[in-house]
Amino acid sequence: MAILEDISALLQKGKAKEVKELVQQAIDQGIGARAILEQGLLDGMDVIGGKFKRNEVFVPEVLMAARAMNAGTALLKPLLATAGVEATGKVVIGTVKGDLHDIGKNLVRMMMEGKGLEVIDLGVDVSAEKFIAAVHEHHPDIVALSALLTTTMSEMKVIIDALNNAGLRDKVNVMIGGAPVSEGFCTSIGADAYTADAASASDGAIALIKRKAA
Amino acid sequence: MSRANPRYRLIACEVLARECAAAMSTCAAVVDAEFLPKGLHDVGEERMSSRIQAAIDATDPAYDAILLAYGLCNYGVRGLHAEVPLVLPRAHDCITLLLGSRQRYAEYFAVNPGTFYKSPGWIERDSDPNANPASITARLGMARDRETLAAQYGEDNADFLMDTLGDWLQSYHKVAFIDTGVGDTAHYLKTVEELARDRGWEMERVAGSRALLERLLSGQWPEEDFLVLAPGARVDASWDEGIICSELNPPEIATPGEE
Repeated sequence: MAILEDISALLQKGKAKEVKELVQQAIDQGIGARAILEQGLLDGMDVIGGKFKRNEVFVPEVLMAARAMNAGTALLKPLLATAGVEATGKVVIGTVKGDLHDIGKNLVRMMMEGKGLEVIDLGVDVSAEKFIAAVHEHHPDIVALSALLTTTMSEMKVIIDALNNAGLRDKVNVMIGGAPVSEGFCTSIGADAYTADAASASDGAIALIKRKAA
Repeated sequence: MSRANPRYRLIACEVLARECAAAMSTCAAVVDAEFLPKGLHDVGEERMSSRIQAAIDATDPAYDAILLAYGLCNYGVRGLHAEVPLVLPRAHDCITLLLGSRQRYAEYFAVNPGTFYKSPGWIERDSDPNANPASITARLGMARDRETLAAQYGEDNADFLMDTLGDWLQSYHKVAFIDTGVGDTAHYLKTVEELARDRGWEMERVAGSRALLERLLSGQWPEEDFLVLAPGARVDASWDEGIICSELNPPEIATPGEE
């Protein structure tokens, strides 16, 4: 449908206002919420995510697309809920204790929300205790940890140990990310997944959730 | 005839130029120093390590050792190797070298999250990473100014992007001036006071220490505080208290759930 292609194209250009208007038009035309989401919004987001991984677009372009995505999904959410389409999964995200950097974490959050995940953002400088409390309260599928500094990335291991001690480790998947973090570090601390950028993080989260459900 | 003092080649970040010079002036060893640009901090692991490696490779192997006045510095020292012993302090970054020990840095860091550090070198020799096209922020597209973004994507998106990307220091609330006792302290304090005032930050003057640099230059390299690599061995991150290790002896990888 042409209108869904237009939604995808405008989303790729970061035109949040226009995307929102077109999503409303599509709803008014009686197009199903799921089709608008998948063939319009997610289609555009996938294109941008792919371009980002290939260094064809950069952080600002991804951010704008994610914002346009979220403007569109806000209109779809009540319809998707009525239609019985459940959220893809739930993520608790935060930057670890001692680290006050949140640009990367915010980008990951927006990309995850764009993919239909429910994200509880604990902010920056988040202690292991706060992560544990949030897992008890929200029962997420994934705990996502961010750090920008080599001085703070060791806190990720502290959080994983705390999840173990609280008997919660087998109930959640732990994802890690941030400039100093790597696949090798992920293995060494016993996290479930490392992803190198925000687009991969949202794809990785969905893959983990599907694996858990299977 | 008494044995001659050792001769070392020091390769250091220019941010530590004054502190290194002060330590060189009193140490017994004969030290030749080369200072590399602060901008290496901004350009990512591969470019930083290849620049330092080039300096190492250009060093006469007649020196008794090559000393690196660097921390792990975003992995910028990973993979470095030399024909002669290569010595590095165990440090995450230059703040350890300015405070004199990584324990002191860890203690200060733990109670002062969100603190921006300044030192004589970080005042006199700082450079804007956004102005360097090779910097990580520039390569991620995060260095564009508001005007450029507005022209590209309109006012609304420019406002949004500046709110989201414009200031990585927005959660910071303090600036610490590390006073290492070198240079024009009155000028440094004034500069840092202005920064604190502009940002609405608290300011603290913290006593620095050249002790770690002095030990680096004096051949006092206990395993506890220094990594001494045999010729050919490569630097790696150890992801533990020791911060760095020799790649030839990778630390045992902890199994999940163990502690």
